[in-house]
Formats: sequence, C-alpha cells, structure tokens
Amino acid sequence: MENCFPSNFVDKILARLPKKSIMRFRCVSKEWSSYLVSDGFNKLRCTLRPPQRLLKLKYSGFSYINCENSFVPFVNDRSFFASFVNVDEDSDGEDFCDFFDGEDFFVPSVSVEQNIRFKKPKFLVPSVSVEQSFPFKTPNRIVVNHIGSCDGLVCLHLDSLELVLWNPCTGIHRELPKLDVDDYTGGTAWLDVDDYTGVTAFGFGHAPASCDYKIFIRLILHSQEEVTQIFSLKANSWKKLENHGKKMLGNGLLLHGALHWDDNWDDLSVDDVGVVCNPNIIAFDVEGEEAYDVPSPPPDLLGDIQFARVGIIGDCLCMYGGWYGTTAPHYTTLDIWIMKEYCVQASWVPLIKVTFDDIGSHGYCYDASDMVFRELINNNGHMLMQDGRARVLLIDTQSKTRSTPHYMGYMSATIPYTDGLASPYYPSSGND
Amino acid sequence: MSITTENNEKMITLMSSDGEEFVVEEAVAAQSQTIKHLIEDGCSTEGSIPLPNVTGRVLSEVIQYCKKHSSSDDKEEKELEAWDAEFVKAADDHVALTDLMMAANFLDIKGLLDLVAQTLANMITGKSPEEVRRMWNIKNDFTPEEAEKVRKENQWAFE
Repeated sequence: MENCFPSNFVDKILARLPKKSIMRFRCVSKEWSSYLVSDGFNKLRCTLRPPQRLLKLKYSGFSYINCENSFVPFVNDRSFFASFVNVDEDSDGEDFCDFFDGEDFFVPSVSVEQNIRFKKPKFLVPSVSVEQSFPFKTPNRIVVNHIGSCDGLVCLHLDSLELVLWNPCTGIHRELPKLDVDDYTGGTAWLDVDDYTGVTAFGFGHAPASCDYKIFIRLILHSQEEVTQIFSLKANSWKKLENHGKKMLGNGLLLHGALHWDDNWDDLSVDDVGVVCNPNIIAFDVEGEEAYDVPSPPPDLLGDIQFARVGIIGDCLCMYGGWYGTTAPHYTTLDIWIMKEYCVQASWVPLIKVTFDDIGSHGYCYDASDMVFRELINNNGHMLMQDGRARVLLIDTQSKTRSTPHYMGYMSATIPYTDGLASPYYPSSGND
Repeated sequence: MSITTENNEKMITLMSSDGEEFVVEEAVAAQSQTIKHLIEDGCSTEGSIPLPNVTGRVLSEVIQYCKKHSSSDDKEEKELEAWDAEFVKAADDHVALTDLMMAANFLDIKGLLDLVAQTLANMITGKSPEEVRRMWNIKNDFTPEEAEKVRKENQWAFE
C-alpha cells in the first residue's frame, strides 16, 4: 500500500495541500482514502513541509496555585483542548516563539518582562484545523503523562494506565487494549519514588521497516519483578519482552528509531553532596526491540557533576548536567554537551554553559535537574527548554560558550510535535 | 553532432513525442536531471535526444522556463517569482498544468515541479471530492454505505 499511488505525480500535489483538504479528499476513492493516511504519504508530506511544534494540552479552567514557592496545577474542569505553538524557522529570533496568551498562561507573580526581548505576544496558529477538542473527555480521566509523539500521532497516558493514541490533525483517536498484568496496582514509580512499584518508563516510537508504531512500558510489580511490555499497532496486542536488565526511567526520547533514557535510577536516592555522577545512556531499538548502551561523554569532558540527563537537540543526543541544590557557585550553571555523531563517543563536544544569573529573583528554589529539553532548535541556534516548574526558556547557543536564558513564560504540558497524518490504527485505512 | 554558438555554448537538440525539434544550450537543458544524465551518458552526441513522453507544445513551455531560470542567476529573486506566477497563469487550466507537471516529473526539474505542484494544490484546496474526481477522471468506487462512513470519519474537513 505504501508509495504505490498509481499516478506518479498526483501525490506530489496532494502532499502540498492543507490537512483539511487532505482529509476531505479521503472521500474521493478507496485508493485515496487509504493512501492519504498511509505512512508513505505522510513521509512525503513531511519532506515537503516539516513544521515542528510544541503540542500544548490545556485544561479549560486551568490555573496554577502558588504553593510554598512552587506552582501546582489546579484543575477546575476536566476537559482539555489542544493547541499548537509553531516554532517559526524563518523568523529572525526576535519573535522566534511567541506563546503568551492571557487565557492560557499563568502569569507569574514575579515579573519576567525584563528578560523578554520579544515582540508583541501572539498566537501563531489561530485556525480551527489545528485546534481540536481533546477527544477523551470522560469524567474523572485526566492526562497524567504525555508519553510522546511521532509522525503526528500523540501517545498519552490517562490515569489508571489507560493509554490512548490520538492524531490531532485528523482527529482520529483510539484507546489501546488494556495491559493485563497480575500483581500490578497502578501508578507510576517515578512519581512515587518511595514505593518502587508501577510503571518506571514509557516510550512511543516508529518502527520504519515494519511500518509499525510501538509503545514501550517498563513496570515493577509488587513482587519486585521487572517487566517490559511492548504494544505493537500492527499486532494490536501487548507482549512481554525478555528481561534486558536495563533500568529505564521516565519517558524515552525518540531519535533515530530508538528510545533513549539516562540511567539515573540510582540518582533518586542521592542526597550526599560530593557524589560525582557517572551517567549512562540506555537506548531501545523500536524496530528490533533490543536494548543497548549509548556511549556517554567521557569523564574528563563532564568534569565534576552531580547529575546528568539525556536530551535531544536537533538530530543529536545531548547531555546536560550540573549540581543539585544551592551550593554556590555550581548551582547557577548548567553544562550542555552534544553528541555530533550518533553512538560515537569521540564526537561528544561541549555545546554551551547556561548561566542562570537571575536565580532567586523568581522566589523559589531552583534545581537544574528538573530541566527538560524539548528538542526544539531553530536555524539561528536558539534552543527551547522547559524546566520542571513549567517555565519555558530560550537559549541562544550561537557562537557563544556561555549564555543566559530568556524566560518566556509558563506552559503547562507540552510535547514536541511534528505535523503528520499517521493513523492510530494499523493498517492505516482500517478504523474499526 | 553538437553545435556551438559564438559564446562557445554547446547546443543540443531535443525532440518531442510529436517530432518537433528544439535546439537549446546545454546549460539550459541540463536543468532537467533526466536530460543531464542522458548527456553524461553520451546520448546527445549523435543527433537529438528523443523525449517520448513530452509533446512539442509542453516542451516549448518547459524550455521557456529553463531558459529563464538558467539566465537569471544574479537577477532579483522577486522578479523571478513574478515571472513564475505569470508563467503558471499562462498555462491557464488544470489540464495544461497537469501536462506540465507530468513533463516536469519525467524530466526531473525540481523548481518547475514544485511550482506547478503548488499551483495545482492551491487550485484544488477548496474543491469538493466530486470536483476532484471530475478533474482527474477518478472513479468513485465507494458503495453508498462506505461513502457515508468515510465522510462521517472526516466530517470536520467538510465544515
């Protein structure tokens, strides 16, 4: 079915259409109906227009409450809307990413205005076709984890281990079959670190050779048994993997057909200052379903750090690290290294030192280990990050070795998202 | 056999499916990756290069495009854009554009392909499935039930 559209040029026209026209033209014929949501067409479309965005899920009636200097989401109404924030590649950096909106964003009590050199706030994507109602509106269900996104498909974890796939472009969505595991009580281990049971890691990715999408889950059962389960869209079922002995934690980052985690399981119990961390990167090949190690930066490059996390910048894995806590002078600096060539240890180079010279003015304690990289970088070398307190930061990495972030505001839940028409069903045409 | 002009430009001859011959500078013709490869493989040394998929009418348009785009390296980009816009406007309807697109596809001229594909895409963006079927002579092979189902699934795209 892939790439075999009869007329060898019509696909090149259709790939340039807006999503709405594409979905309408699924009604032209059976062939068009399946072709327009196929992997091949989706890929072709991506090569012609590769917009990268943040998918932002917002609650209606969502607000933050200030609770002992940290901001806790407070939910008034359990319905969601999704909207998208474009990262405009052509912009000059002045308005690289504008996403202030009176309704959507919590305005912090401490002014961040002085750090923002951006033009008038605006939403870049106002049209209906990109703002879809969140389809999973059943009461008492909230999104507890945004697992990931790939080819326009978004994988979300609702509470009580319900997993859903949703394509916000096409609106097609589905719930996945329940994971049937004995001796499992629910919950996520990394949210509840005192009780090491539950899901420790998630991942969502594409297996290009088999045209499949897979969801990775690693659980620790009450018996302390560690279990890895894979859901295949193609097989439409879960299967248990042999124990690979790797300790993934958190959401895997998708790059080059593999999911990546830092092996910082032991970090969770680290509280003694002075422990120098020796980070490992674990990867899981989505196609071959095998775990492997990715070389981390050599120790002499890392120097003395207490934590290190893996991230993605552009097409490269990166690692960012620093010190926990508030021990001056370390706490104000975050080092970022980048692996220029995948899996080649010698290709690790320092990218930038980010100096947070205004820490304290925000009135709460800062912990750089909360930083989350959102894989977004534009042509001007501006990089977007989000920290554990939902702050969005913009860092200029170009021709500099040190940089100070610009605080751009707050976003609740975001995942990097690239426009795509992949279907949550396999084969792509069948929606039953 | 190849001719050279006073500028020492190598000329080659292209022959359309209906036997029309066009003598053009090699640099102009080589904007087509297909022709470029044929030249590299030595197919142009003996007489003309036959292009069995392209009629004379379409080929003359393609050559017009290639000439403009090979001579305007240092010209204003805006001027070229305006020229392109006029060029596709002159092609007039979707039949002529479709012919042009097929030629650009066969001859592998990226700029022309992008230009025509985008023009056609803009043309059909707001059309109904029925209009698209008529445009390209596509058979509606859905049963009424299937048609209803797929329409329902994509209802938002009709609103």
